[in-house]
Amino acid sequence: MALSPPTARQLAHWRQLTLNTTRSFPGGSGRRLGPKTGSSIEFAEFRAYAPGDDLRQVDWNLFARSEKLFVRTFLEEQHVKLALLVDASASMGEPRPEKLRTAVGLAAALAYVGLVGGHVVRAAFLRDGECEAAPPASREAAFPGLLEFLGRRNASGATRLLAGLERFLALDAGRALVVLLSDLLDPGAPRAIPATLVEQGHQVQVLHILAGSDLRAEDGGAVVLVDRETGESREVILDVATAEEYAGAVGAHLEEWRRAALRHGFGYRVIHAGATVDENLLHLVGSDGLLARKG
Amino acid sequence: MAHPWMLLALLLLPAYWWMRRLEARPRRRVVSSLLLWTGVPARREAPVQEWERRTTLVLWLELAALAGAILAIAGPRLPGSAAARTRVVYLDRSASLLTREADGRTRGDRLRAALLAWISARPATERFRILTGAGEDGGEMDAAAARDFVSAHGPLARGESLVEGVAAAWTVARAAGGDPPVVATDRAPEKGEAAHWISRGAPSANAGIVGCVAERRGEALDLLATVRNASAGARRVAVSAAGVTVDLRLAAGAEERAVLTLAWKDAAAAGPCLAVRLEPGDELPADDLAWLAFPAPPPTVWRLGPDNPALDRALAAVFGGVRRAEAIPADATGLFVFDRTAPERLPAGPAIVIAAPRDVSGWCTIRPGPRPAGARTVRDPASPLLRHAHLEWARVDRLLEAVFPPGAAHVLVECEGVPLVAWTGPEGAPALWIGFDVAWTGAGGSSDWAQLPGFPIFFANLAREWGLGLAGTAAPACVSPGTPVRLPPGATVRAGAGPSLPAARVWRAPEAGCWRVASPGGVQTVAASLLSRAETDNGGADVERLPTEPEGGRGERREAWRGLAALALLALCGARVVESRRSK
Repeated sequence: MALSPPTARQLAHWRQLTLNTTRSFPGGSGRRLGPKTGSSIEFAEFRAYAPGDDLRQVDWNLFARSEKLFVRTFLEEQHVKLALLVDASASMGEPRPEKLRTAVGLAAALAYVGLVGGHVVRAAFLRDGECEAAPPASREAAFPGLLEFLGRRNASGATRLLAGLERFLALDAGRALVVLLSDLLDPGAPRAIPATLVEQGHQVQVLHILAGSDLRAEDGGAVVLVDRETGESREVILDVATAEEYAGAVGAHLEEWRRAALRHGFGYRVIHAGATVDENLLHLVGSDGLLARKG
Repeated sequence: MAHPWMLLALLLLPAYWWMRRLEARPRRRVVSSLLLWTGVPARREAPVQEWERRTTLVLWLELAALAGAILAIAGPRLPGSAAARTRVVYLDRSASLLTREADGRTRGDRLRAALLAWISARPATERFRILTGAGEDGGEMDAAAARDFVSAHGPLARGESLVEGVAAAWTVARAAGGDPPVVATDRAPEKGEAAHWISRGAPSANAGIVGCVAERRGEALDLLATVRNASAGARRVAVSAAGVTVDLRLAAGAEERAVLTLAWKDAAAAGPCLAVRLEPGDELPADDLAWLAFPAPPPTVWRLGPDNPALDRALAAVFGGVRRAEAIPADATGLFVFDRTAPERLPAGPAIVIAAPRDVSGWCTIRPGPRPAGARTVRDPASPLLRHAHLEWARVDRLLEAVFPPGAAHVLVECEGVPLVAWTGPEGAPALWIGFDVAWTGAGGSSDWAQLPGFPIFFANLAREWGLGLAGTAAPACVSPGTPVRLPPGATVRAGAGPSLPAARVWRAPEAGCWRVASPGGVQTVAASLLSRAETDNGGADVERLPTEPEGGRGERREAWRGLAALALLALCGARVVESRRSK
């Protein structure tokens, strides 16, 4: 699945965005200013001097005026690890256009935002319990390589998100901003995955990618439904009543994900596969979203 | 089965069944995962077998609707319940059925023989109700009684209205169950006639005398009979009058004149009417057309104008003779006829002015004068003088105002909005305005219309109505202008003693198809009926359009059609209901 490169206008738009982190990510120096004070040149606040503070941080001008010792604190410059985990199981290949195309398009945009923000970006495909990860990238120049990585994968195999995630964490144990792009059609317990990640200190954003045909069943008479991943089939009569009941089941499924997100503190957004990348990005911008506008 | 070949369409049913079965098979649809379908309650997971069962029910209903429609179009006939059926028969007994044909039998004989044969071929359980044109209604009867009834009711020497008789038969037939009546007559059915029909002798109505005028030459009389052959083939026609017969051989559509020169007998003994007998022959049946005109002793009729033999002959036929004059004689009395000539002065007596349109502006020099005190306007449509007059009176009034000032003259005949005949009478004399239907004969116009059939009669009626006792004799009697008269066989309009009937006047009798003849001996009614020239040719063949057994009649077939159509509709509705329930 070749991924078409973004246009200059898209890139300019993505440059105006920044990742909205809600947790601190200790590690090596970086350009991302975390919520903790550190050694960057970005002033944070004045604080009363305490024994042990570095005397170089004392503001002597302020001492001359107030005869009290204050030290300057600076925002800590952080390395933010952005992990983009894309579900590449066979279910992501349905329908046309594929949900996988929406997922990798969105992942590419997020990767660019991360690279422009000076973060370490690592993309990976999860399928069949395996993890196929790209090398970490921290410069904008690495974006074409990431694009190529994201665009060369087709949807196939079973969805075993938990096993795939464990593989990914084995590659890099540091805390990260984990973005999971998946249709979450996992026969296991997919809602436990983000909860576990949150407990481990990761910031987790689940982007639930669904197509129109996943959300509603159209009246079609006698139909043999075939599972894309398992090949299992089921005979049903798609009439109005069945369609209503299916819509109810889907609604309940989404509601359970929303409640799980609130309960465990991870971000959750439903992404429509039919929308464009920019429309989906816009959906992620906000105070409680994954992205924020600069300035 | 009206259209058995439509049954071939039933072969489409298996193809339709196979096509619908293919369509009803469940389709394969790939979904991302069946996980979300676990939320659908199990009761909605209907097996495909249930779907197929429902589809099969719909399919069978559709097939039933299709088959019902095909069978309905094929028009099946159900076996008739002959025991419950009553056939209504109308038996024509009019005088024309007395006509003898080539084999010596009358039309009535042939017609009744055919009708009896048909009755004998009907099922023994069938009943009949026979009506006649004479008003008889034999009531319901079995076949034997029906045969007796037909045998006992032969033609009568009088006319009947076939149209009214058929209408009455239809009324009775509808009340008896709806089967069309059987009409037995000697006339061909009209186009679109739905009744069953049996006819004998109809072709003979296609030739006849369309005009007959008499011209006296001293003691002799020339009788001009115009005969038209309206049939599709050549026809030999014999025209007889007073024992003199002229044979004519007429091509199809031809019209010729037969001139019969008769010896003029004692005028006083013969009276004003000439004995004219139209004999029914093998090829000229009695119900042919005749224009009758009866000459009278010479009156004083002056005609002024250029030569016009046709007009002279017409005037002579009516008034017995005519005098030509270049100008109005000084002391002349009588009737003055100006033919395309402007009168230099108003004559003392009544006058008729005939003008062609091109001459109107030239001769219209009649001086305006007061309207005659006794002038009266005849506009009563019932007036015999206005019969067949299709004039627009409003237009005539305008013309009178424009061309003829009130009282100066009165239009008698006009054509294309131009007055052709104007009447001016002496002051105080009665005057009439009469419109007359005139055929236009040429772009420049002429007075040829004066020799058209009916024109002499118009003059005759005119003179009689005015009471023009010319030359001291009574005005000749004749039929109404423009009215063809069909004489029954043996009907004789004859003057003098003996079996002949001195017809002083003929007029329409209240009875349908009858004419009344007045003579010195009293008034008698003869059977006749009008015959339109547009009457269709029967083609020379007898008509035999009778219901047959055991297929049954039209009414029964329609009933079967309706039943099948209703079945098809019901099946279609059933299919719709099942489908709508399935989709809910």
